[in-house]
Amino acid sequence: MLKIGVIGCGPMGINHIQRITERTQGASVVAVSNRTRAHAEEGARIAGCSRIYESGADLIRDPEVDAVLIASAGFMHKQDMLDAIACGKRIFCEKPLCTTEEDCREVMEAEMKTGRHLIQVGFCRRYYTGYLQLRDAVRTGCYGEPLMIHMTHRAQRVALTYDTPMAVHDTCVHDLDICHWMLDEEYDSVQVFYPKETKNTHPGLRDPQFMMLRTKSGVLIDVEVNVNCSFGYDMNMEVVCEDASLKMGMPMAASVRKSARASREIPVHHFTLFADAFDAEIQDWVDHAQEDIITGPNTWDGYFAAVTCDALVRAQETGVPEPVLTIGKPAFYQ
Amino acid sequence: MNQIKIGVIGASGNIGRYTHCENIVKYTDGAVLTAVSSSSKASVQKIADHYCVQAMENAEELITSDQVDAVLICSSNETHVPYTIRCLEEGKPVFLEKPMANTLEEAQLLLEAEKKAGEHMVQIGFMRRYDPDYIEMKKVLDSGSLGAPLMVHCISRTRYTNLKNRPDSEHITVIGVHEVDICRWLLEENMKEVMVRFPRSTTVETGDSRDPQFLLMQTENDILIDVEATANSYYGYEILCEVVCEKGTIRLPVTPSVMVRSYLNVGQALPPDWNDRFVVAYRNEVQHWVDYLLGKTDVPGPGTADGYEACRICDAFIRAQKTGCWETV
Repeated sequence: MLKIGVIGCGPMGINHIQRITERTQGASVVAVSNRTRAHAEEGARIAGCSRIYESGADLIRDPEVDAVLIASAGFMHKQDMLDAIACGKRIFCEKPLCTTEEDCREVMEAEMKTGRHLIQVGFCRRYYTGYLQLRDAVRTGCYGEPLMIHMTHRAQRVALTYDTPMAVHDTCVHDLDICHWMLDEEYDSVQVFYPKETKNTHPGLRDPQFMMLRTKSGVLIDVEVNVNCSFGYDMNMEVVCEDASLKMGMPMAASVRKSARASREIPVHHFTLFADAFDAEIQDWVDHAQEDIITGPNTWDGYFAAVTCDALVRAQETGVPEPVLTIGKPAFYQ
Repeated sequence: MNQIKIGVIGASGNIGRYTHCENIVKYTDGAVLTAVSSSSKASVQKIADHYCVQAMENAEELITSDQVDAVLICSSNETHVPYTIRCLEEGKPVFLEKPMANTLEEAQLLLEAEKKAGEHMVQIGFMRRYDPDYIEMKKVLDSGSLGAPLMVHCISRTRYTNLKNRPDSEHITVIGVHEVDICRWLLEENMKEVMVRFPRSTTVETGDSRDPQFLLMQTENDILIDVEATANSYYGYEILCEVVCEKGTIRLPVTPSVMVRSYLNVGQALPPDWNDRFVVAYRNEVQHWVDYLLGKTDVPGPGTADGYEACRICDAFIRAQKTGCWETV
């Protein structure tokens, strides 16, 4: 039984605590922490555990805790990860790995020094059936080389605290990770365009945005980032290959024919659409704890996403193509 | 009964033979095919015999014939403007296949010739405006129920018969021009600036040509349109379009066809080419032209103003192919 400590009892942390307690095989939550104690108590109640902390550092040092799940605010991730690495504990870190490229590099170096793969990053979409099927189809090689990818990332609405750069850090980061994973390629440059603005947005947020990424082999990816779309959570992905075009399947839903219409529901929220993917990523992390390996997205993927995000935020400001410059992938992560 | 006598120049080309001649003869009310001409003498005689019409020696003979009231031009691109100007000089209305002209200078000459001859003497073959799916899309858009349009995603996949080493500009003048016109028509806005991006190119059969191309246009009110223009579509001909509005999106349907379940697979055929996909549009555009000539409607189809605007935008696109920057229209 893997004994997990969860740092951060906001909506994402609570979601993971519920998941591990109700569904995940071979693991349980034995400790929780949150800066505001009331949230930590809520987490403990759901987990049925009694070890409650206000500091991540204390939770990490608890000998009862085998592994640490980090679901706190992004800027707090680095310190908790360095502490957990120092204690040799297995880590699941919700995205982002860290909020800056430098911090990601520091965590990567600390992990490499231990000689052990300790960190899985929470890019849950890699576990979503839709993306997995699409990736399998592309990798058969039956359709020739991929040339272009068209994506949409549409959310019904976002909070007033959501600003222009968050369209990169919170939203497009998922799409860029999926493409990086699906093509097994790095990015060469990125560019951001601004369509006509929707009335549904608020000051400080340019919405929608049209983001373009070019891989090193020249595959051109376009992503419609539209976070106040009003109508639901609508992910689309089409991989245009030399001999064929491959589109991700629609989410499962009952088809209703009524009143001269044929229709189906669209998911409301990413928790709805990716429920199974969240379950699968945590189960995968738990399953490989014995072997001490990480099969899911790792620290390098987290670093890579951070560098690409930085370039996209620069591109949001300059309006011209911005290069994506990473350090070479260390052999440790090959 | 009043019938417009139509002569078709360029009858032995693909669109001449299988689309326009067929449609005039079989489907167009108030019109009759009376004469054909083409640069290929052998094929044009065969067509003339098939339809029992006159095979003209050349375009000039057709244009000046008293057996021809109106002329449909679908010959090669460089002949479009010279032939149309001759028709206008003879006072004969023209249905002109796109592109209207190869250069802005040519387009200018055509506009001047039309002004001398009369108003709306030329209809341009922007047939997508007559496609029932695009018409329905525009109805939903214009209802306002989804709010203002913000973006349009277009996909235009076709298969050239002879792809090797074709100039980059043909992605614009042959493929992109349709998206340019249909977006202007859908949104009722003009384009402000355009950009071209070249993705990784297909390795299949293209020689030095780059394919696909990714075209961007921004309207005067900032609506952003992106177009995937593919000339070497191995799987078939497909036109897709999604208009993204403030409260929802509208997508063109996949062309309906029977769904077949067999061998662990369920699927449908896609139309093999533009003639199949736009069969209704091709008929309706010529019918509209004839109705206008007969005075049955006083609303003309897309004319030289639309053709000229498309030329300006294509020109900007060809510049953008070279500079890699936004080019002002």
